Amino acid sequence: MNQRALGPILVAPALAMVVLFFVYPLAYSLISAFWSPEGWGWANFIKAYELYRNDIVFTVLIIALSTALVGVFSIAIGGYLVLGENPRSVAILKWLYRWPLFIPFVVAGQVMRTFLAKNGMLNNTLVGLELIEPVSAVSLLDWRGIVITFVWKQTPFVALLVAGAMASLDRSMIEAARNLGASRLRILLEIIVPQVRASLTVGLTLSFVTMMSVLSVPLMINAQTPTTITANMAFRINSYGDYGVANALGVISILLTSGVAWLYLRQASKDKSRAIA
Amino acid sequence: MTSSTFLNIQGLSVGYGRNAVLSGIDLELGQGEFIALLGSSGCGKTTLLRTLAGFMQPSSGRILVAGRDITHNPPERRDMALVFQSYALWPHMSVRQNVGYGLKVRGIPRSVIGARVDEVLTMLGLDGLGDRPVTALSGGQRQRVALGRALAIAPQILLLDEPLSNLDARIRLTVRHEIRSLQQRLGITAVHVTHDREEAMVMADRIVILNQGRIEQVGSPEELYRHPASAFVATFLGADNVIRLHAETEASTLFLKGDALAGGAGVVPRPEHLTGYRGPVQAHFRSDEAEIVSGSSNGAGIELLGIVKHASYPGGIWRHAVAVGDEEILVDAKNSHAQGANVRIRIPADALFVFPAEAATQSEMNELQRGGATQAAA
Repeated sequence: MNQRALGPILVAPALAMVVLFFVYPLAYSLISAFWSPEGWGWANFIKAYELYRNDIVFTVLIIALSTALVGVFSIAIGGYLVLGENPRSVAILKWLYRWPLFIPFVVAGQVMRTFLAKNGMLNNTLVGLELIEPVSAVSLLDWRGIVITFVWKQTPFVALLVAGAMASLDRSMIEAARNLGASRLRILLEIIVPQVRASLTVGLTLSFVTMMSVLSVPLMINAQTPTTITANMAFRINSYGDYGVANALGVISILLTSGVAWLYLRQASKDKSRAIA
Repeated sequence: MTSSTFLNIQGLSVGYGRNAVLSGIDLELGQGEFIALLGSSGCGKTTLLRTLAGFMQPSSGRILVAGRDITHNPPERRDMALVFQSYALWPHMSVRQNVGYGLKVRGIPRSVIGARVDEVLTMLGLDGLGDRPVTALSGGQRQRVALGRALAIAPQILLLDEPLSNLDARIRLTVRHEIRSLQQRLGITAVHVTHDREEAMVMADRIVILNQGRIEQVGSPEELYRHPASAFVATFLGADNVIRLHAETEASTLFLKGDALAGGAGVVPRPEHLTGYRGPVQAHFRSDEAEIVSGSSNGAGIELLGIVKHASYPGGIWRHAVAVGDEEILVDAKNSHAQGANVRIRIPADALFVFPAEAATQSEMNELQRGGATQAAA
């Protein structure tokens, strides 16, 4: 058998897998979003907008807030690992911060339910320490709970990428700034973060997409409205068998994540052109 | 401490864990002085520089600047600027931002920073490059930016960590002189780390030779070159031809004996450190200070007999590898001598550096200094 024929034959099984299990379901969902009992059109999108526009805004806001907080905490963790002067504290932080990486979202949701409830561990601790009165204890099982869970779960992932990038920087760049009199906070913000921006953006983009797709956390923590797009999609399918609106919500999710991906790609191409210059 | 001492290092010891890198370093620098720390890899010269900059903490000893103890000050509060071997320029900043960063950190108004940065860029011949990213500069230009960044803050002390080692040979020669003249013009105190002997000789007021974490000798380039205090210093400064002989002293005369010597003996003035010494010695000399002669000649010095093994032409002179007894030495001459030729080599007394043979122990030397000369076997 000649070489030209062998190539397509070898790639065919993998290609078939991609087409069958990735391209086909995605294309089918996209097309179904435009199909309703009335025929082809925007009906599903109009219905999704009328019923769930508050939820769409809610989703964007809490995930944007979570992403921002994940960024702040990742920079803080990475910064301490690189600039920390107490070797024991650095070693403990290095050992601890990765734990949530190995805990599934559904377990994280359950952990946070027991932690953030009105009579949960957080409030019990605060009351025990006499920091708050028992009557003023409030449940955080709402949008705040989702944000806390997302940040708790996603920070280690981004911190892992960011800390790795920070550790690979030429140490003398940090020392040069210290030598010129810069404080450690200044070094972190002015010398280190701009140089690890690419890793930070990748981490935050992937985190944003991951959080957009999480269903278990909003279902377990936020049993009220407004809720996230994923919870709405599950509700349309489980309660009404309404795949049309669910798919329309899915398309809206893809558009939102595509927006973030576009911002990332634009940044990456800017960095690349600067490096070439 | 003398009244003119500006930087005073007292009994400084530094280590990584249990491994001592520097032991009991004592050194004084005057204001405006340029000192070169010279030594081979691992001798502790960079460790000393990093300890001065505050990036390493000494296990004992003190560092004083103008009488003020700064031993435990963090790097940002030492008023010393370090030029790194890798330059350590920040790639996300322009030339102007790199040079002005130290001033920005000090909270100086933007207009003042702009004027100072322009001044520094002009001084270093970087006019017109201010807005370029540092990644778009050549090696020599980057080196200048790194120097400019250090000088912009007008530090009390300038620390240079092998800043020329990444430059090609031609540019290095130019930048050497540029740094030296700039340092003299600004009157700044400088400590320069290098493993390049010639670089240290042409740049420094004084050279500190380090070996295994200790200072071997401190002195002006000429003093070290003409009067090395130990076999290590002699070898490091180019006197790497070594002949093993036997020595006896009498008053101010040193009698040398050995099969390699013409007539089996030679007489030279006795150096101070061999007072009362009798025993095996190693005589060091440079290839360009030995001379191939046709017959015996007058003047203080020794003469060796040898056979030419090989001759090569590195440019300007002929370099001969000559077998002298069991040892092989290099001797330069204007004319080439054929392979296998018997030659007589003359080494003037002032170009000959004689030290107790390395087999002679420190305790033997100590006893000699106490006046009880030990009879060492030849």
